[in-house]
Amino acid sequence: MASIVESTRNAMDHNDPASAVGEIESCALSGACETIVTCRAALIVLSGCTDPSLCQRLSKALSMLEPRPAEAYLVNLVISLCNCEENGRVDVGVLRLKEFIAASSRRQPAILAVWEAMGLFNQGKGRDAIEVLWRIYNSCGNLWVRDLLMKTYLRTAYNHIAKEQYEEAAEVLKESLRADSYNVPALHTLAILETQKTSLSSLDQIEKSWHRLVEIWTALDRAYPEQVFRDKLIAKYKYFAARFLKAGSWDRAKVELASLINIDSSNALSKEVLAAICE
Amino acid sequence: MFSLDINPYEVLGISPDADVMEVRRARRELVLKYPNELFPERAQEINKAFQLLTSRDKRRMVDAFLRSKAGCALRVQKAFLSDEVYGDLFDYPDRAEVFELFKLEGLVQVDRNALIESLLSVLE
Repeated sequence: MASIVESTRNAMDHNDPASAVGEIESCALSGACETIVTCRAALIVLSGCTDPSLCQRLSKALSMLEPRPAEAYLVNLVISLCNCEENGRVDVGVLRLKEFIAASSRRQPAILAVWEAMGLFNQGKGRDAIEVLWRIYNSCGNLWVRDLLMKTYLRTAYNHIAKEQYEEAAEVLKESLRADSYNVPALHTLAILETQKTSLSSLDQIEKSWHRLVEIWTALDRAYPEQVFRDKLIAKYKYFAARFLKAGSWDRAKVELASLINIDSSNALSKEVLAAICE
Repeated sequence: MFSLDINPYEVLGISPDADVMEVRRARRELVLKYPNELFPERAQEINKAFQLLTSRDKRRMVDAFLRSKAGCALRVQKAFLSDEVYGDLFDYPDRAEVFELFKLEGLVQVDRNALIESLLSVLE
């Protein structure tokens, strides 16, 4: 019965997913292979092929299987994977998948390890969860795990913020930025923390906190035309123009107002105020 | 030297071009909305703004102050630091999405490739 797996692997090694799908179709139609073996062959195809028409054929073939109750959820999942776009996400029933894995395997797949890390987090052990996720990421290099890791840092920081532990939150965010200096939500949250704790007399610190974020938002604003990042930049320039004006830091206010006018030339008040402070 | 801690035009919700009749009407409406017994601070601001804008000399000083460097901060205060702007800048970003990740019951969204890898390792 392992032959369908072997032949699928062979076809995929020869870059021929169409013949692999053909064999799986015959197998499903004849009922000659066990459900789990057919699913395994389908997964081998899916791991190297995202062609929509082939994936659709696989989905149809799998829907002809007559799985036992214990295998039904696996078949559903593999069909969902067939219908999922490349880089997409699939809805997974946590308990059902856990039950299936517990019944069929002694090995712990990466997903269960990730869920264990999430469980640790939910028990208040954020640091332990981060450590486990780093271990998983270092062993598999999966980008989804990395994404989860970065979000775990963020969530740990949000928990500190909720308890008004601002220094601890900033430390966690800085640690995540050492691993990924383009983590925009972490940069943004850190900038907010720095700004809220910074008095008007420490204007240099404010500038430092926002500088990199503004650089990234500006690049994103150029790349994506839907204005989300432009609105953030406008909000930033307005906020700091107002603070610098209040502090009497005219030169710094000029820079903020000029940047604001540069991206929002219709703002008459900015122009009037800039003219007034340039007099 | 003349100075202000409120922008009387903003307090009364009128434009700098408003004439005396408009100033009186704005004050009348606001006094009804914010009676002194319930909103003493607001009522005091409204009265102060009214006095500043109905005296020709004081209004001239108000206008000159708002045109000066020091007056700029007052002019932008409301427009640049509204809740809308502040909220957009100071909301912790993507919080809802991050929180959703830690839900370990019911359906969770899993990356396609990660799920394929995991299922293959289970079925080996």
